[in-house]
Amino acid sequence: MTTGPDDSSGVHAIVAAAHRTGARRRPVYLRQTAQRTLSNGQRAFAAVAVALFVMGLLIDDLWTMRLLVVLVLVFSTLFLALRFVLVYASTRRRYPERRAVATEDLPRYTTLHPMYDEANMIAVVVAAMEAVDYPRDRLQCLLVLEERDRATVEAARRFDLPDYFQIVETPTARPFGKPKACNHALQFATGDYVVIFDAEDRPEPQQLRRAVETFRGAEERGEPLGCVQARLAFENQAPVKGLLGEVLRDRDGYDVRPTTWCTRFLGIEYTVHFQMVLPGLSHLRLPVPLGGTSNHFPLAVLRDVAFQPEVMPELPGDDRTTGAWDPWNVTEDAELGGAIAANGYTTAVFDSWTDEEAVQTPLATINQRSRWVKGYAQTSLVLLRRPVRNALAMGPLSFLVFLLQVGGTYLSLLLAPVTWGLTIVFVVTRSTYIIALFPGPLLYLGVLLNVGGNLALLTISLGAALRDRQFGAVRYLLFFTPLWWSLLSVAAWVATLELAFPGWRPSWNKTAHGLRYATRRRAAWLAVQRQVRSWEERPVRVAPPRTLPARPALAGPLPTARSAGGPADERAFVQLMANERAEAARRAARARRATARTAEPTRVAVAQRRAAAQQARRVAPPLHSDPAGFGSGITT
Amino acid sequence: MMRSTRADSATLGALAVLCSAGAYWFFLEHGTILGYEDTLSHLLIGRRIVVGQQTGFGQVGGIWLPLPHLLIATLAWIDPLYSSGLAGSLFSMLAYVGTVVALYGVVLVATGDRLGGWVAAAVYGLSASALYLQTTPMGEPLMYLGIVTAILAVLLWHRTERHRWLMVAAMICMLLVLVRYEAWVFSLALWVVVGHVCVAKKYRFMSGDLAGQAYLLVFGTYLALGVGLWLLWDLVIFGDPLAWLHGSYTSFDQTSELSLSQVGNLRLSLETYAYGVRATLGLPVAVLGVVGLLWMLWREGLSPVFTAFLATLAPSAFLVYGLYSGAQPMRVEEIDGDLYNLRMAVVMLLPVALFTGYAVASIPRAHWSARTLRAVATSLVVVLAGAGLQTAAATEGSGVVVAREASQAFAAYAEQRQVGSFIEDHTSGRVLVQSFGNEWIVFPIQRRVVYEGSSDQWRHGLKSPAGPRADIDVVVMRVTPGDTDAPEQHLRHSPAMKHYDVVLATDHFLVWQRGGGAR
Repeated sequence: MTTGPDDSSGVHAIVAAAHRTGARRRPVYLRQTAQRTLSNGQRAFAAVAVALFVMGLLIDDLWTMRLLVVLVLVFSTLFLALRFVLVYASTRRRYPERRAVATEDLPRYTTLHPMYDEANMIAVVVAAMEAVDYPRDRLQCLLVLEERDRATVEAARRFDLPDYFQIVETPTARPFGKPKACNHALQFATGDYVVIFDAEDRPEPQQLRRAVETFRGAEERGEPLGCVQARLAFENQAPVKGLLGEVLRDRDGYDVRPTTWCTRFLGIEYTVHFQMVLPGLSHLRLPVPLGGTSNHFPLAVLRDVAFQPEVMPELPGDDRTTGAWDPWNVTEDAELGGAIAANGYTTAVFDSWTDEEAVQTPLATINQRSRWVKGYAQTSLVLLRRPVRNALAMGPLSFLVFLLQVGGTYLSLLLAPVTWGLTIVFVVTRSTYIIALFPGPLLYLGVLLNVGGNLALLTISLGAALRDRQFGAVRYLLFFTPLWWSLLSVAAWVATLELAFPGWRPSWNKTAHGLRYATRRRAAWLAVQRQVRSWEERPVRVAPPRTLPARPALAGPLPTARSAGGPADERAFVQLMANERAEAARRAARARRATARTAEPTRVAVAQRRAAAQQARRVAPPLHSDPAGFGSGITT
Repeated sequence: MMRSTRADSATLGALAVLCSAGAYWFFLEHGTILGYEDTLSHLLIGRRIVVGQQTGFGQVGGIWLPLPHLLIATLAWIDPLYSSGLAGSLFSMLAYVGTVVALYGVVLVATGDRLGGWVAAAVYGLSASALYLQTTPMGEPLMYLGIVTAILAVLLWHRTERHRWLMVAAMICMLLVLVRYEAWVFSLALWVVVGHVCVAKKYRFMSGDLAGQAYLLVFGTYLALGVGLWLLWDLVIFGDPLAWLHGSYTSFDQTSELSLSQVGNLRLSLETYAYGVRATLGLPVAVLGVVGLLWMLWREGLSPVFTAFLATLAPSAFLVYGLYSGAQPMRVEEIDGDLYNLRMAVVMLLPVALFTGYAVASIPRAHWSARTLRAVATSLVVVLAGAGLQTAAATEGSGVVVAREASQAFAAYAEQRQVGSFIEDHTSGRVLVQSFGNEWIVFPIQRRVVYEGSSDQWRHGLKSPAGPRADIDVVVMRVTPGDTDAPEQHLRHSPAMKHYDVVLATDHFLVWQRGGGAR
């Protein structure tokens, strides 16, 4: 049980401030879940739209397609314009002012750590929270596990957890997933503030304190701050390098911090998202789609914006009053960001960070990204169930921006292969139909968006890489960006399929962490090294040393130029000296070969001794604990 | 310091605006704004994008780089701005003002000395050649602005290590390579300077944090993108990415039939260019630049700042090569007896201004004697730089060699202007005329013109001008022996001309009108 000063008066001030804002005078924002992908109204609308489209094609296919082209171009223009505005706004933003809080005045804090099939990450979570600078008597860390995940539950029970840790087992009931688990755990939260950390997260030690100070500063200003988001950074977006610039590896040859081209791109994307896009939204007081982890909330705010209990799934031992997150939405955090804004609260990006681990392979990237993009699509579809009401509740501009930010991301990734495919087909075939599809102004706008827009997005990424001093990522950005964008588009199409076939959603769709990884090139190099070492350990047959023949003595004194009788003798003298030098060189070469052969036994002995030492090290226990698993070869 | 430099920039800007406007008024009075044939070509290309029988970005063509024309297109649809040339001159004038301020900034960042910056700005800003060139709708002033601002951005990056300046420089170069071909060579030289900065700062290229590699790649990528986009454009429009190099109407194509004494003769090429520099900059100013270069080399050695300044010589080196290869002709009175393309030498003003500014900036300020020396040096420079203005005023502009060349060119096209005026005043309807070589005819009647860039309309016009697919009312033919144009070659003796009568015949032109009376 955590103790500490009661900060409820402070957080209630935040809630009261929200109630006083203009947002509360608008229609009440009705939160709906993503239990159904499309509402009845949306299905009817979609059917009508498709019917009209087909009719239009039959009447005049060219003008119908042109209308579609116009809609796509308008959307692309708005989406890109929003991106540039946000990036520019982020250059103007300042971190919110904090008010210093003495340690004895710090309130109770609850951290939620949802985990599924991550028995290997218990130690990581504990180590991360042990590093956090917060009074232990006011800290409550809830390991939010699934009852059916026996391996993780047992591992947690076996682990020597600190006193401020508690295990919360979510009952086995659909829908499965992180948001439902967090909702269930919320009823056990005793803190005034709540934050979610994923299993692999490593928040900087002062994060909780800074969050409290930021909230206190907002209270003083009378600002209805409902959430503060720390920026996330992928620790493994760049390898660890030594003083000489070499990549550091463990004793088995694996990178200490595994880095791939995927982690590079993911790292830059996080930089753009958390240091340019979200701060821009926050600066402009627009809804912020939250980042899924390291979001800090006053518990009262979560209760204030919670779903109605009747829409929450029934769980044994759960009163359904703490439904802060949508259990059916795989990006429940993004949706919560919209709900917070619609209820009159603001979200700020504050000066703290959390290190995460990026996925390393393209397949894992598609897996993860398809989940995020699917969640964005779900969020948008829920928002569009009652577009007029929701727009009035959020504010028309906030509604449009939020929709563009989440739904626009999904749509842009979905449309990218179509637009690029059309461009390539035109360049190759010079199709007159495509030419007719793009009359003058549309053509120019399309080219501008395609070329200029993509170049601008690349520029933003390059700027982020240079700003973060991720210089090694630049070459990846320049040469592999089309491939990366293709990957994201594949993820978007996979997400669409998952939405279309509800049996696939929602699920944990988990991203594995704590893996030791080597690229194929690195693995091949390690295999070669192992082979070479095995050759060195094979016994070598040594030939007996050979004795050199004695050098014959010279017949008499060497003639000199002075002793010679004339030019002919001089030539003979020169020739004789040259012969002597050649003979000396041959003798030296023979001596070197003889030395090399007699040294072979020595080298074999050294190699044998080295192999024996390596064998001894493998058998011996490690000298220190290695909870991160970098050197211990933890795999799943 | 910041406030004083901002005040300096504002003051310089204001003075540059006054000089620019004054120069424009002066040369307008003397009728030399639209002297060069190229001025008309630039205006025509810009206007065709938005006004004419066939509009669109395809009218940019594939020979001249597009950026100046895209800018001109924003104003050229306004008839008075087009016919006066202001649709293009305005951008040159703005570029001039920007170049003056940027030169001040470059020397200030390089040396920390405001006076040196003022001197550099004065050397360029008071140059009669620069003042004339900025009144014309040519691409050179825009290129000068790009060169100086790119160097400024690189120096700011060098001093502050803030990556945004490098990205600014890269993007400037990406646009700059779409202005003039000399800028390609300059941008490559600046890329080398970026590498030099990285080496000097011990950035790593193949190991460690790879900062040097990243900076080089970023800069090189934008540079390559600019060039790549132009090659792609030529590929799309002409089916040949190198159409700008060896296609029709290129420099090579135009000069291939001329016998130029500089071709294949490096010494003569250098000599020609040197005469050009002397004529446009003036010998004293040119000498100042050489002294400044040697002084800077002696003081700084091969520092990144020096190599950045040195990069401004790249366009001149490219132009000398152009003389040598025959791609870019230039004629001077001392060798060829006449004037042609002397404006190519004006780019030397940039390194001269920078090196002179550096030399003045490096004079110490500590002692009163040194301050006196600075004042004397500054005064000398300003007087020498402004000497051309006196000459210009005294000779009513003809003392400015580039203006004199423009006047001569203007006088040479009197007949074309007469033909153009006649067609404008006495005919109506669509006009079939080859634009290349007949710019003065096309200029006043541009809106009605079907020319070699009108694709299908041109082809149909050359086959059957009176037919419904061409519907040409007036046909213009250049009948100069040995220099006829496409309408003359295709239609002069064609039965398709039976619908047309000659309404005007000059020494070199025939004007036909459909169903018109003979004159």
